[in-house]
Amino acid sequence: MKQLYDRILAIRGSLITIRTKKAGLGELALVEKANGTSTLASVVRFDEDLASLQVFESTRGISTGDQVSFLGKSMTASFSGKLLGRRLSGKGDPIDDGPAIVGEEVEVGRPSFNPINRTVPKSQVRTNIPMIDVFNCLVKSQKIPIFSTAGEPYNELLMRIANQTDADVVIIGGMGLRFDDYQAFIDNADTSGSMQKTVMFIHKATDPLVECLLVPDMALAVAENFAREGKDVLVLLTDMSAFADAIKEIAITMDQIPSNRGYPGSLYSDLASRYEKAVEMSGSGSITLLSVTTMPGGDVTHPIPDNTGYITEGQFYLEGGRINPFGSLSRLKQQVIGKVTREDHNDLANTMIRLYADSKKANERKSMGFKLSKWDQKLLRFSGLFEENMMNLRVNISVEEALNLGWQLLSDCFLVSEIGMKKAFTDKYWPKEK
Amino acid sequence: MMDTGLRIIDTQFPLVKGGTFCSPGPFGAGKTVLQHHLSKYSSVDIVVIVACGERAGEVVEVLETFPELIDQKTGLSLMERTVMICNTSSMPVAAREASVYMGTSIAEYYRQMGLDVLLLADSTSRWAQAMREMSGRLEEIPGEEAFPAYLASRIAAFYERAGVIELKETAGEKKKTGSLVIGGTVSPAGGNFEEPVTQATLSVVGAFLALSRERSDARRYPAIDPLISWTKYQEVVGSSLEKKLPQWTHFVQMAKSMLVAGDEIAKRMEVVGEEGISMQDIITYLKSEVYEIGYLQQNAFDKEDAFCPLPRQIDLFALMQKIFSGDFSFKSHDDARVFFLDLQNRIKNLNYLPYQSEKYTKALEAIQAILKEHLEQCLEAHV
Repeated sequence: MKQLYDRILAIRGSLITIRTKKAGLGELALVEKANGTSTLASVVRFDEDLASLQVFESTRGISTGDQVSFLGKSMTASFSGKLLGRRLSGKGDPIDDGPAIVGEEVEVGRPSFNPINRTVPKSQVRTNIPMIDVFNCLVKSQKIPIFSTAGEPYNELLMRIANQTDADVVIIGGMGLRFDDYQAFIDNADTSGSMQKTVMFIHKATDPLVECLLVPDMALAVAENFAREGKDVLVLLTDMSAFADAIKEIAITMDQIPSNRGYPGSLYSDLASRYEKAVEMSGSGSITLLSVTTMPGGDVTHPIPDNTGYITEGQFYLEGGRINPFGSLSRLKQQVIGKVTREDHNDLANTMIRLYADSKKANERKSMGFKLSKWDQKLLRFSGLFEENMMNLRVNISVEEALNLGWQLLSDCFLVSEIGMKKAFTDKYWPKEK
Repeated sequence: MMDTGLRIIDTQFPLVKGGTFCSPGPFGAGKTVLQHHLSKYSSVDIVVIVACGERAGEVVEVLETFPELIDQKTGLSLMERTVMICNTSSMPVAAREASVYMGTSIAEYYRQMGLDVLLLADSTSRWAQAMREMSGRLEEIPGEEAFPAYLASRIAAFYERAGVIELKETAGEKKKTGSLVIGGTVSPAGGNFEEPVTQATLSVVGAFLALSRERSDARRYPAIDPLISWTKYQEVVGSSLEKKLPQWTHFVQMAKSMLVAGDEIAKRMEVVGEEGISMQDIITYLKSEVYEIGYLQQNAFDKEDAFCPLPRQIDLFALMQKIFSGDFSFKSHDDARVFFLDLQNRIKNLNYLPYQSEKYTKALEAIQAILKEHLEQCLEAHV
């Protein structure tokens, strides 16, 4: 028999408190408001016979006499193949004026895959962005954030990757999105024709905060089900800093003791339980997770990027509209470079980075007014060409083309004896004089 | 002594059976690569790996590669001597706090059997964070950076479980000893060592292998920073190695001061340019670079260089001694640079050759001949 609770004892932030002895942690409840509408809430804490529930909407309009009833289940996402092409809110409700989603109810926030059911990833995800494909390959099942600051074109970068990837399904989780960003994601999917393989879970900046917390869980629960069906899924989460800030806000409302800059001590675990969903299942599909972390004040030691860096398998730095080759790192690139890609890949990439680093020093010498040697001038010429033809995010070429271009740039600027590469490679790939 | 096959550890910052060490470093500096190396090559009987709050992918790598690798001592699969406690970052926090104790208890069990055991905890910061998370939930009054006040004593109690024990004599057997080494990685927030977990760990461990971002960015692997790392086991190990190579400790100390001087000269050179440096200084700097690149650095992906057994280290260190104490002189800075760069390259290539193979012996002799010839020339010039 369903039990109704008609007394809300306290309302604070997005939390309401009722007196009950029959509720489970994480259990969903329905709050029926006086104006006839209703909203969902889930149990987050007990204190003797008091239960605190997190309301999935604004608590505005809830009154102490509203009726609360428990549903006997925890948060679920509806999963079916019909999700493709749809846009949903953090709660899983359609926000594209389409019909309701009917499908299998899957629990969100399940434990991630046991290591013994995983395999070591070995295939490359092609993005056609040379700074990623050549220097820091994205590997299937990798979890990697883009460290950036507000104002950088990180969403544009995500869209490009979403358009060009060979993944079967793309799931976009937007947190704290401004309306124009949201619209840009829709327009992009429409124009590029990738809508039919895309699912969006969107929390706009004006939506209730709690939905922001649900977006990654929803997106990843759906991703997991697609992956179980043998699909290669790419999950794009933007922006994880909004997610971490939502955690902070809720934790402080719940009187949790803050540990670092107001974030709860569980920040690492909270982020990890989402990122660790990235997986290459043995004998089935995969989840690749690319996220955006905006660093407050560009500070990489801030708790959000810092904790993220310890969890993820590398990071891309997006600075000044370009992916910075210094600091960016893909921990899994050794799995594919030269094994899946061409043999000269590793040597060529390292040589270019080394010369580009040298050119930075030459640039310093130039700005300090030192006399430039011939070698310095060569380096400066190389750095100009490198920035224009490789680092520029508009460049859109396959990894093979990018490698050939790399050889071309080197031969334009240097003599074959100057770059110090293995002879076997220079013999084979050094462009011949015309 | 517990040899690891890493020259920078065995020579410069040696570890002993029954000792403790920690290796803090920012993300991307190679903490896990170092742990994997130690778990593969350390001269112990049993390795217990506690994957405490780290990536699942790293556990998968161990699970897939270790059964394929052969333990050089026993000829069995490496997995046969490995125990893994797995609590990856997405697993429950309460179990994370327990995981290091679980690992230690298992390690102690093997030690009681008279075996040499190595316990690697990757990473103790996650363990400390788990304590913080639980303490916060219990609404205990937070200490520094919200870690519980008992953090330091818990860390001390953990590392103090390492040590050598003498077992009771059993009938028909001689007195046996068992040992346990505890090594923990620390992942300090923002790579800053001035934080509670690193500081509490430093006051209780016997060796400190600091990994630095600058070194890993410069691709100088293993990225253990010789300028700030230290060990308390130098004398114990030194006195036993001196039987094989006289004046071992003296030269290790000399190497360290050479590195400090080299670093200082390099900084000076950035300001005043190479012309402003005296010949003596440039030679010191170049010698430190030879030691750095030819000795301390090791290529983990090269079959030969990844593991450098102790006898080979002794041979190479003997060569280094000659270079350190050599009285070189050159006409110009460029001459000195050319000479030492050549030397450096030769030694680097020597490291890639199989030990005591024909090629190796030839290459070594060639290097010794070059050194001898040059030093004799210098001597004549002086006379």
